[in-house]
Amino acid sequence: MGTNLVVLLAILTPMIGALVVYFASKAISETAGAFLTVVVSAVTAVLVISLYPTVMAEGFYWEVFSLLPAIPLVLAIDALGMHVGIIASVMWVFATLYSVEYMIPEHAKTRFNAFLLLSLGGMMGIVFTGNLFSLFFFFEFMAIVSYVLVVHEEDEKSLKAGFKYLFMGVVGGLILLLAIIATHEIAGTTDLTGRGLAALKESPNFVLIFWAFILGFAVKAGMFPVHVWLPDAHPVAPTPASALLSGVMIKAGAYGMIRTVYGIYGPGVLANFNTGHMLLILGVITMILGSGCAIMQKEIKRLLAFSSVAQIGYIVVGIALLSPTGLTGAVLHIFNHAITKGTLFMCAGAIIYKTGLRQLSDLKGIGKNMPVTMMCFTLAAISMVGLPPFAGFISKWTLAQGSLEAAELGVISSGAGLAMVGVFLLSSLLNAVYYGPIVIGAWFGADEHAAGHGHHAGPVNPPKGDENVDPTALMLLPMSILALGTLYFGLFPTYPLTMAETVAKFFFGL
Amino acid sequence: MAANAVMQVMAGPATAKVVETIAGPVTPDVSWMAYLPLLAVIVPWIGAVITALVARKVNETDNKIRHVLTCITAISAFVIVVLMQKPVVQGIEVGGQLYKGLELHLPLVLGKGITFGVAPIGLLIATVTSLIWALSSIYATSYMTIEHAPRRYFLFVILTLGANLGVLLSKDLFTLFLFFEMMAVLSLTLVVHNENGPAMAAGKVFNYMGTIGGLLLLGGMMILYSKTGTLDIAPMTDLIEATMPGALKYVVAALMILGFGSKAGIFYMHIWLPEAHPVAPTPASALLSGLMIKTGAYGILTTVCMLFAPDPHHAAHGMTTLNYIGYAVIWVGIGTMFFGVVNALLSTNCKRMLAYHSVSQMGYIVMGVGVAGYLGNEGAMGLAGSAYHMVNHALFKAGLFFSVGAVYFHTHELDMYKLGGMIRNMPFTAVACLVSVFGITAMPMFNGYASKTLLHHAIEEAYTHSAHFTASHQPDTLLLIAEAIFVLTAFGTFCSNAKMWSFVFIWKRPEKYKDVPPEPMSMRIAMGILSAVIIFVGLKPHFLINHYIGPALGSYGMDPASYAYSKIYYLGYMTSKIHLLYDPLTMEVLTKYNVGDFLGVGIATLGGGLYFILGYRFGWFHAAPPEWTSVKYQYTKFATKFIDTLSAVSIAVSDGVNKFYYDATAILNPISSISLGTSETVNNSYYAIAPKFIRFITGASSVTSEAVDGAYARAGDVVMKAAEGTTHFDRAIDRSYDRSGELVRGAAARTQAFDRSIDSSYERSGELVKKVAMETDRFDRHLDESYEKSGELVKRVAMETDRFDRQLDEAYEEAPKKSLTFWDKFLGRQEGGEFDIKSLGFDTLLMAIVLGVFLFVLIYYTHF
Repeated sequence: MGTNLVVLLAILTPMIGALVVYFASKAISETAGAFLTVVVSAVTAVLVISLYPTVMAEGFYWEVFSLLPAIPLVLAIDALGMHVGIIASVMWVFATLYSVEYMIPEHAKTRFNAFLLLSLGGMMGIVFTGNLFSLFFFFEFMAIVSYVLVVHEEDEKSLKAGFKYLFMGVVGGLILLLAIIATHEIAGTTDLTGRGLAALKESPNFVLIFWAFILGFAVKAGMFPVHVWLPDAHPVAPTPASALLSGVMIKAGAYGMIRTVYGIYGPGVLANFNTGHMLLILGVITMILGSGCAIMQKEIKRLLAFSSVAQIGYIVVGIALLSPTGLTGAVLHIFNHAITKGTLFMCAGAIIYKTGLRQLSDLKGIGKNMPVTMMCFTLAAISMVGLPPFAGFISKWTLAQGSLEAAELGVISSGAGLAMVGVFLLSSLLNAVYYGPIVIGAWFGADEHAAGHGHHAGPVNPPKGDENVDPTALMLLPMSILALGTLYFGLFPTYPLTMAETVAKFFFGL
Repeated sequence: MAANAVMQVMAGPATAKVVETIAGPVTPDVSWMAYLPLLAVIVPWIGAVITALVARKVNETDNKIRHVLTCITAISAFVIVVLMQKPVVQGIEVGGQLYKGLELHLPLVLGKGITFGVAPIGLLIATVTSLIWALSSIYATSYMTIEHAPRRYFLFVILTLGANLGVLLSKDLFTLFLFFEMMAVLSLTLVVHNENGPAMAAGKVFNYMGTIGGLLLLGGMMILYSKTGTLDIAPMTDLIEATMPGALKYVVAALMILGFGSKAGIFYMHIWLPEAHPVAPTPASALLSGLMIKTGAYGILTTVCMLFAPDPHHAAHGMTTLNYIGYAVIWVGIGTMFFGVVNALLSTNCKRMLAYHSVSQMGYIVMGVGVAGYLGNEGAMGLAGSAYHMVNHALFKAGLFFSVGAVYFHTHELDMYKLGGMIRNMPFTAVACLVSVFGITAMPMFNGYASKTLLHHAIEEAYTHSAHFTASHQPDTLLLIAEAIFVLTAFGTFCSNAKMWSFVFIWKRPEKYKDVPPEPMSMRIAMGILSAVIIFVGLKPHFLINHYIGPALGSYGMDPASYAYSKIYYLGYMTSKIHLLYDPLTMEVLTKYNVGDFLGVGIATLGGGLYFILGYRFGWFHAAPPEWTSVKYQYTKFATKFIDTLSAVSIAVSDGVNKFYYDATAILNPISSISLGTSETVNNSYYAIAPKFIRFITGASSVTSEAVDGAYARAGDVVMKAAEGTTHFDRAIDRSYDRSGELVRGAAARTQAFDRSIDSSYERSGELVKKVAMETDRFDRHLDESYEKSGELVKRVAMETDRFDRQLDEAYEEAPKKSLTFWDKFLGRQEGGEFDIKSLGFDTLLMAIVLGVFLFVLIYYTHF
């Protein structure tokens, strides 16, 4: 019962916390509310982490009550849920801490903080539920509350992007619901804790339902061809929210895809169908297309958003490889991308917060003015490109090994296995093509700021000469910890790698 | 950190047999030694960071601290590397057991764990690397006074040292790759140090080629690891043959050779080298050109000669995998050396020329590796020659860069045609430069002679042995051409270097350089030590062969019984006796074995000299090749096109998908128009029905109202009548009172008291009646009021209805306007924007999708 309570609290703390934060902000001050947000996130993170020993030892399953007849609300945690849950709750702590200072000049801080926490609650719910109906409930909840984060600025651009986000989220949710209902009809259960629902495999509508699932989750994940909302929605949100949207929330989609492919269908089943290959191809397209678009971007946050599309491609490919190492790579990359993209967004946000510069052409020489910020950016960018000894390298290596393993297992042809290695390398090269110039330009070359040439969304305050405009420790702390994290989890990837391997072993029954 | 130090037992070179036995318990003193490779990497890093933290400013005190700390760090790295010689080459005896080689496994790092391990050739290059790094640091203490950002320079140059040593001290490819990439990233800061246009452009090329090379290497490693399950730098020919039948092993070899080759500067991967090396500050150029590219060459050597190592005891029959790879690598080397030297001849910038010579000299090294692979277990000559030449090239190339930099230090001029006569200002530099020039042109008694002799023998052996591999059992004539190109390159090397030296130091001195001061002391120290080493190696060429290269040959699968194997030692010995020409015995041996080599150098010198004279006379050195022959131009064109196309396609696809969603509405035009039509019809019907309905309601209301009025009126009559009746009754009572009063008065006349009381009772009852009447009156008024009120009510109802009607009308009128603003807000449309089908956007799509979902459900249930 003790564990039950902790799990329940892990979901409810942020939700109740949202109310507390709301009223505390009204009653005391917005600053107090902001700090309270951090506290609530931290409490959630502690609760989630405290579950780790129990969950890893014996798992967790609890039917709370019946939503409808025969559709219980089930809370269940396994290694995958634990993994994503820890990532999400810890990233939230960093993002909320970062947002304390970042949001000072912004309006409607109370609303922002409250909805940030509600999103956390939704995220926790998604990863801690044990059947599809419960998952769907939290999935939609998060989609709707995070809409408020996207449209926070309330200007034309963000409203437009927010509408797109909401709309696609709703449509994706409807399609997902359809798949869930169909699954329930056929299999009589929507249990997510297993390794494939036997009845579903017999159904003639096998493929159709599979794609309904994938499409529903792909919208959230930002996979091609339903990625179009992502590069609009992520950049317009305030940076802490961008970091979470891009770093964590799209992973809810990836999480759903893993559950679909491995938890509902099972790898053995899909290997015999072309659907797995189709998903693989979509993943590859997502990967290359995201990078290809990112190269052409002129605004930093939009570039980062497209980069997220590309990285989701890695994860989708890892899932679709249907090999233990491939899945390990995908699950590992969920972790690595979260900290890396989180860092990058926070650094970009710090630059925008201090100088108002967002055009890439304006960021030349910014390293001289914001050395700590740009150092964090550099570390994370190297991790993104995938050079050792950074976190990105480990996931890239694992994924490439996974594609060759898939060829060995006969899931894909051996030529395709080699081609996948080529795709990973090409993608790394493309990453270097768009991250390289930012980093090199920031540290070396032009001394003069080219500010004022590009289009600026807000007020611009370019630094003069060598003046140091790094933000205060409150903002530097979360991003430097995360940046060092990309290095640490590259040098010593034991924790995420073990988690990912545990997940893969579970789903492949090893 | 959980470090698991293991000493590996390897048999000595005498038996030339590798015994892979992991020692059991590790004795304390042995394990201390095992940490040396890690120290060699870590110490420079710690030293560099401490230096940067201690000396923050650019002033005299901080500069001094920085210089001292940097030199101490670099020298301690050198000491650490030198300490490794004994355990690695000679071995140390612990408990009666001979341990050879160092190995250190760090299991947690990078997931797979990394392994340091020291092999003799790697150690040899590491020794030279750390030596020259220390000299370069000493040199830089004065040179960097003319450059900006010394703090950054010294930080990154020493960080790079750690990474560079890591590459050479790795036991597996995974570890090697880690340091290889680190070095690439860290050394970028040295290339772009000047931060001007050329430096930034060179940095770009350097970065891209480094990344591409790293990725090619990574690709090869990924496949290799996936197939064989190991990345150990150890012979694994059998494993490779077993796990990768067919073309895959060639793919792996090609990827790895190209990957390493991009760093080594092999032909077609070299484009970054002549860009990046000249723009870096000179001490860094020396390191880039002399040492860092050696990691690439070392990698190629490792790939070809170690991973695909031949069976030491059985010469292969027919072409094996290794033969094919080796043959290809020979030609890569030949192409590189010739291409490099041609470009060097056409260069005017001294540093650029030296950079092209690096390309050319790397060609020699790569060719040697190729021969080693081609000849299998008889390729000891090629292997020894390339390993030796890696060391020698490092020495003389650093010397050349140092002397050119010393000239630049005061003159700020790198164009050799604009300099001259500097020997009068800086004789020390001139002599040091000449020593290095003799080294690179392979003059006897200077270091290049021994290695180039070995390499020349190697290519000759490749030619003579090629008969084993050809179908006709005749030697491969192509290899004879290769040998010719080898000699031709030697011409060019002599010509180009002689030209550079004479133009800079001898030719007529321009007026403005008359008062150029001599080189600073630190530069003299660096150049002096380097020259001394060059001459030492030149005079004692067998020193390195005996101490490093010879003992290593066995581990590369070279057959100790082969002719080449013993000849290397012999050649080493002979070349060392070259200064003893007067000795008749030596003379006799020389004539027998060495005269050819000696003559070879003579021919190269003469040919080079002739070429120099002719070239100078006819202006060949200023010929400019057309742009399309430039490899960089071809690359840039391809790369630009590729990236542009890819991005353009990506954007187009992404936008296309986006637009598709918007345009999807066009397909659903009928649905939208039907919806719109329906909506309007309903709207119109509302217009039609509503007024009627309201009129009906109003009419009914008024009728009701009148009816109620009538009813009230009637009811009023009744009440009035009742009231009248009451009055009547009242009057009747009055009358009866009157009557009874009279009656009573009559009676009262009799009883007064009774009468009075009766009177008052009458009065009272009269009042009562009056009160009743008054009440009635009030009720009547109330009734009137209520009549009025109910009238108002009806009126009000009518008015409300009217207003509601008006509001309805207004609402209908406003309805389209309002919904437009709503969508405007969401879709970000401009005020008063046109309302066309395209701007329907997502709402229509929503409908479409919902419809789609319905269809889906329909299909689903029909199938189910």
